Amino acid sequence: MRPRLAAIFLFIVVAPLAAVLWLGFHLARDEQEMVAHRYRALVTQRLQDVDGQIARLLDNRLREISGLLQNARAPDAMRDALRQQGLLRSGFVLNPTGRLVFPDATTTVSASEREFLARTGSLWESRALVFTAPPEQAITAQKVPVEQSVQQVAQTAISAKPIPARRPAGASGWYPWFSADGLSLLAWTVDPSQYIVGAELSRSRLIADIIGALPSTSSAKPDPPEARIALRDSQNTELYAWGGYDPPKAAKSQITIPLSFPLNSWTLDYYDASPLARGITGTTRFNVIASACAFALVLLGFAIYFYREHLRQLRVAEQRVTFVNQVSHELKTPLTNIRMYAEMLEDKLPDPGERTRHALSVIVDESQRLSRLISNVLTFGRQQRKTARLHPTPGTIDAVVSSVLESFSAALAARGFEVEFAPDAPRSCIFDRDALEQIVGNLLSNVEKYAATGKWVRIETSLDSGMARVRVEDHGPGIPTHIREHIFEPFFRANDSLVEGVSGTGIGLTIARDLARAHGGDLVLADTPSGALFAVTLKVETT
Amino acid sequence: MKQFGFTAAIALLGVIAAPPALSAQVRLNAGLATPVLIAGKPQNVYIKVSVTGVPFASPDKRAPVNLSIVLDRSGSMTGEKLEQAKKAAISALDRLSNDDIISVVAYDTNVDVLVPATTASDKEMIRDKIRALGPGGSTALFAGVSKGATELRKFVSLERVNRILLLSDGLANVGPSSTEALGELGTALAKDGMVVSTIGVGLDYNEDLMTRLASNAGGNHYFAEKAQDLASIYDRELGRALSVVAQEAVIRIECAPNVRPVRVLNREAEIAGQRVTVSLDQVYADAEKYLILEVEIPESSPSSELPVAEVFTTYRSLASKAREDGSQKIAAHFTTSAAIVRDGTDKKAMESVVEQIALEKHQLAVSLRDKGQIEQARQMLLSNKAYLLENGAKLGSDRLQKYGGDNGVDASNLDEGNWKKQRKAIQSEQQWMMYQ
Repeated sequence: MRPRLAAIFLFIVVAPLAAVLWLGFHLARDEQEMVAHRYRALVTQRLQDVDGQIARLLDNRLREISGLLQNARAPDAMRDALRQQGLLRSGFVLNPTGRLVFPDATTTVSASEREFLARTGSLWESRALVFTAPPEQAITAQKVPVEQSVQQVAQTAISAKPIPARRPAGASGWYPWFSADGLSLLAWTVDPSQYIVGAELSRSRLIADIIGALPSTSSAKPDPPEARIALRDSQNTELYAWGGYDPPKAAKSQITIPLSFPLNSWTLDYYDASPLARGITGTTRFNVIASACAFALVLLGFAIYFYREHLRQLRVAEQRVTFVNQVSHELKTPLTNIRMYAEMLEDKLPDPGERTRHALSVIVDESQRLSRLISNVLTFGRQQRKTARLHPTPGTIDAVVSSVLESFSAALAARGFEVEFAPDAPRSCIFDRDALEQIVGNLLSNVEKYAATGKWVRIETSLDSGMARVRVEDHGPGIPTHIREHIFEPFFRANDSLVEGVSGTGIGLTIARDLARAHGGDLVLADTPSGALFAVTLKVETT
Repeated sequence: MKQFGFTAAIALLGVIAAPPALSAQVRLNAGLATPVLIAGKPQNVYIKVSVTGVPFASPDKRAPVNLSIVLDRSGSMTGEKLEQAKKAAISALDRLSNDDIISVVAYDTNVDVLVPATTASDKEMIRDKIRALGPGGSTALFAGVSKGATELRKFVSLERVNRILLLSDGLANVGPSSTEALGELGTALAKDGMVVSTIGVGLDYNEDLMTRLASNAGGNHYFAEKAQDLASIYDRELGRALSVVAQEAVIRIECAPNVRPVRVLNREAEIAGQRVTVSLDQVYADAEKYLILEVEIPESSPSSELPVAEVFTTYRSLASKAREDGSQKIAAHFTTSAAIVRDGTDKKAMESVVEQIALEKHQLAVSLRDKGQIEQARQMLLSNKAYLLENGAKLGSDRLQKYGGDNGVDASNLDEGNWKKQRKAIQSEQQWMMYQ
């Protein structure tokens, strides 16, 4: 297979294949992204549902607690409330100005109350509960001064400036607060006399309540089956988890969301056993490549089919050409005989008479014409098969041109041509006589066929410094600009209505140019204002 | 004559001054270990306050139970331990009746609520679920207790005995796992009327965590050295649960104005000013639960009577399904005679005081041994033994003598090989002795 054909072949197969592969991968990847996005949205929704559950639990607890605390302003009432309510660990009471009045270090305090004051001292000093918003966005743990003396707290509490705090009675809320152990939740409520009554939640009990509300994991049917949801505190310690998947220690969660206030320093993490890959999975990749290959195979099939068709047609065409050449070859020898004997008769007949002479000249002319035609065909065939060879022999340009002109003279005269012959190449040189004959013969044949309207033809020859020139000029209709190059193409015939019906094979100029070029020269159509001028140049060796 | 009359008067007063307050379900008994004191100087004395459950009128009557069995099925429970635990749980189940509520929670890395709180009527279904339990991964102990408490809460009521039985063989390593966290949870659960008893099996569990949880939550801790011991332990614990006659028992001691409460030896107490408050949670039929309160008595003149404190108890009776209370006053008398002081000693109360003081020392010895100070620990145990034997002789108490002997045995078992097991045995013993 020729390289150019191979290149086309490859291009036909590879280019679409590459396009399909690229498109396929892009589509697959986009789809994967969409699936992953939807999955992430689903998981996030699920986590948010859990968060909602926890938030509702906290709301309920706050309602219970604030109801209890509304009547717990007095120390005894507060201690009773703390003793009965498992969720509460310690209590506090602030007066309307925000000053801590219970536990009161100056009066009686139990050991646990003392410890509570030591732990929470900074809160009461700064009156953070009353005057600042709780650290909603705070994730980092504050460091609390350790073991602040209880008396110290009491003193500062008493000496602080009173600042009013306006809140509606019955209002309640959370105050998340960070100690060395992590998050500690304070619940507060405003009682009818504007006192702020609050309590610190038992961290363990709060976590236990939340765990109680969250799903457990059935061994038979764990949910989620191939994933795990974990609740983590502000120090990223796992508090509780459920699901059928047990991730390795260092695993990262696929999706994490923070809980709502007041537990917004806690997170819910989702671990997936088989997370959706971002981008193309192995299966999709295989699918895309497989279908692209199938497509490529189909294209290959087509390409092979068309190539074989092409070869077949080439073979058929070649057969035809070979046949034509064979036929022409078969015709050549009998024709040569006919010409020979006709010319002999012309010479040898004593006194033929007008009619006999005319008959003979017709036979001779027509045989010559046939010879030329066959020569053309055979030469053309040889050119196509690249088997043409030149046979340069000594001779004179003028003599050859003259003899060709001679053979055309009758036909030209019949058409009313005025013939001008200006030979100027009398010197002997070495050239291929048959080639020159064919060239000039074809040019004159064209003039005869197409330039009859001009009724004039001029043939010039010249010879200098190794180049022989022959110019054939006529005053015919000329050659339109748009076909000036096409006329040299094989089988091209300018379709001119004036010469409709004229026979011709369309290979004359092709042969003439090829022969001229083979001879080291060229055949060109020169620019003329009217008519046509063909200029032949041949490279010759002067003797 | 005068001597005799005085002594008799004192004896009579002793009786009058400390009459046991008869409440329907719980018998309160409060008094000074040494009701007669030396006059002329301030001194620290001990008060013993005890409650004893009165059994129900009819012998086969008992309060319905709301029980949650929480089982550890971590990987280390594989084999004999889990099998025995399951058998023990099933035998506990078999003792329940249709009025009782049971739930079963199994935990490893995750928590599986095997049997959500339900009446103990379809025992076969529950048995099957328990039998089907297989071992797993890590130990989410906190979560197991939390889920057990949630199940209990579904039917929690003061007309039922609400109890969680927690089993573990190892160290909690998932979720909050510190002794403090579990202790805090225990305290919170007890406030809601749920008592947690803990059972540790094998030699690898954290006995501090398990005893603290049980103590704070009003229950008891059991040490099962071998898996085979589980059956009898569950049995014993269930027996306790079935013998509860009163819940949410609280002791409130109002000390007299010039009497200063110092500390309570064997329990968590809230001391605020003159008031001492202690929760005793569940009270068992024919079993005594007590606390020892140390108070500071001011200098008093001889032949005077000093009101020391008034003791109140309140609890929820499971028979009458109502809140009941009782009270008792405590007073001290003074003399210049040491002999009278000695003779006036309430032997039973003093026995409890000595025991609790020795227990404190014993705990101290354990923490010394934990720090690696083996010799100091041994010395402390031996001196404890001497103390116990001496007082045991004085008070004629076999119990104290025996405890003294135990101290001696412990003193010789402080080496590395035995310590792991020894410590567990000691801690569980002491948990019983302190909290009853």
